[in-house]
Amino acid sequence: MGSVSTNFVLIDGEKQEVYSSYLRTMGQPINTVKEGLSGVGDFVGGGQIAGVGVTGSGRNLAAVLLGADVVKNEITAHAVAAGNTCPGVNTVLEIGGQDSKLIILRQGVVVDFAMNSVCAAGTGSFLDQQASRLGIPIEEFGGLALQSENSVRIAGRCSVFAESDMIHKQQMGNSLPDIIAGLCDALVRNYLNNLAKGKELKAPVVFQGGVAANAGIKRAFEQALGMEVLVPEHYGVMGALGAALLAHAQPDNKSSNFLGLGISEMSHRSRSFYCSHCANNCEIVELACEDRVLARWGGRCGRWSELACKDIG
Amino acid sequence: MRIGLPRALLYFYFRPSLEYLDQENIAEILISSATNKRKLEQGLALCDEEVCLPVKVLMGHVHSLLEEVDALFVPRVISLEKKRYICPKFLGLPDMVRAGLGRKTPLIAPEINAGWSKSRQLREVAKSLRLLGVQPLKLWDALNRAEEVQKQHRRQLAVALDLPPAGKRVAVLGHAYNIFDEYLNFSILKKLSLLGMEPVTVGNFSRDQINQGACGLSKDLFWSYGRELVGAAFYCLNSRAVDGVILVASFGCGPDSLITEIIGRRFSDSPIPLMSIILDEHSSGIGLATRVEAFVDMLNWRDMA
Repeated sequence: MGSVSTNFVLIDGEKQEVYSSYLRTMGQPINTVKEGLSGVGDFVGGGQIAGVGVTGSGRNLAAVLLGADVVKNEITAHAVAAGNTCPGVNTVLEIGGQDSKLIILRQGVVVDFAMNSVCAAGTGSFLDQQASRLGIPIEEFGGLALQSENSVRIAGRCSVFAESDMIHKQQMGNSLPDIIAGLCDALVRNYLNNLAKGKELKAPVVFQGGVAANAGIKRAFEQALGMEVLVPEHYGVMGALGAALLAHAQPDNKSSNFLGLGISEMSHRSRSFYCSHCANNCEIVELACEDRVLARWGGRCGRWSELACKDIG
Repeated sequence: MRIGLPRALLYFYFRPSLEYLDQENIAEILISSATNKRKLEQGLALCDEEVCLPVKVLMGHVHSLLEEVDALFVPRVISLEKKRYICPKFLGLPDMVRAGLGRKTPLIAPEINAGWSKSRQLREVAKSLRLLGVQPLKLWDALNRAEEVQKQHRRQLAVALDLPPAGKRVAVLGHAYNIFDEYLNFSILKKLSLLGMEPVTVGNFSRDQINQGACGLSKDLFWSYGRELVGAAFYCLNSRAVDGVILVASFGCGPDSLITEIIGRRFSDSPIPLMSIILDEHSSGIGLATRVEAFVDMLNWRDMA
């Protein structure tokens, strides 16, 4: 469950992907999970779900909602998925909705990684925003960049500057494809300056995450790195695939915590409130299913998360 | 007369001796309670935008003490070792506090300068404490004993690297006021322990080990605490005493922006993984948790290969 999309991947006993779906989270993670799960239910029919893994920035919410067996950070999940789809991969470039990551593997083992720090400039949300400002569907963004013959220089350090630079270039009369290609170059430059500093990027390089759909960014990476960049078939759901593979790696004798496909039919309710126990005033989120509290989280001290979940009729 | 002592910045370095002085009843001391959201917000409101996060936190602590104390202890610390200095923000701290809070509550702000002779330093401290009516000789005596307590504490901590590790050892290097303020760092040390790691901090390195590491610099650093960080990090690299290093810096820290870079470059082709974390006013710990968990996964994986 990411900031922008919520994805489902089903794998069979042979670790082969048999089903995947990509849904926009649209700020409504609970409904999106239920919607996605009912899609899974339609596909599975009478089949059995043997285990559930979750990842992404919404992993804790998804874990409670579904009853997950594995809750994993997205860096590990992405590395596992890349290693599985492209054995021998040495470098993983991942750009998602809210953050970007660089993972360095050697012999199938993560040896280094970096994640963008304070700011989300140059991630999927910014591209989304620019596409909508220009009135271009995000799907066509990359194709337009490929039409460019001479990309213009855009400042990529900060999305505010990038936007004013783009407007400036547009008013100067530069063509739209050139500006978009310039933006792709700027994002890639920013990514490499921020994350790849001092790291050796060796082929094979895999590019995944939602932004890998953008052929302009892929080309900009290839030009900057001087090597081929592979985009796996299911680039948009690699995190979910990694979580599924991690769930698959759980010992067989362990029974699953999965709450069942039926939860997509149940009513869920979340509410938040401020705890007034101390000066921290933590914001506590409570998730209930059919009037039964599933979990509470968000506090620093654990007083709410440890409370026995009782009926709140 | 009650003196307020903010639980921030240098408090985290001198906790043993400050607590000793508190027990000795040289004066009635009130130490502010741990950092919380209210203190941080108050600090943000009272500070200039440009100052670093820990100073904002200090301001919040100072504010929380105002109602309950007659004076505040905010020394003007210039240097703690000969020919080395600490960050200039400590030098201007009493002025920043006055600018933020006005002059209503008196400040006890002795200048602390390792370049001075011991007797000159004592005169300066005694002068600043004259309001309390402490006998200089008694003060001299107490300060000497407090110094001994501090040294002994340091010696006790500095054996950690010689003991067999309890799990993988991760050096969490950063200023004490970032490493030991659990509100700011989302209990990073506890988190690492829960994940089966043994966290060690700068205090767990002996003087010798730090000096040994800091030798690797082409020019000695004049920031005392920055030099400790570089020394500890380089020692880790040379001795292989740890499995991984996490650098923790706070947003807006000038010296650390350089220190992080110096350490990062030396580690760039080393077999010991290094991760750098920047603390800011973010109210959610999920980003930090993701990085720490991934770092631990990576350390565990490397072992399996």
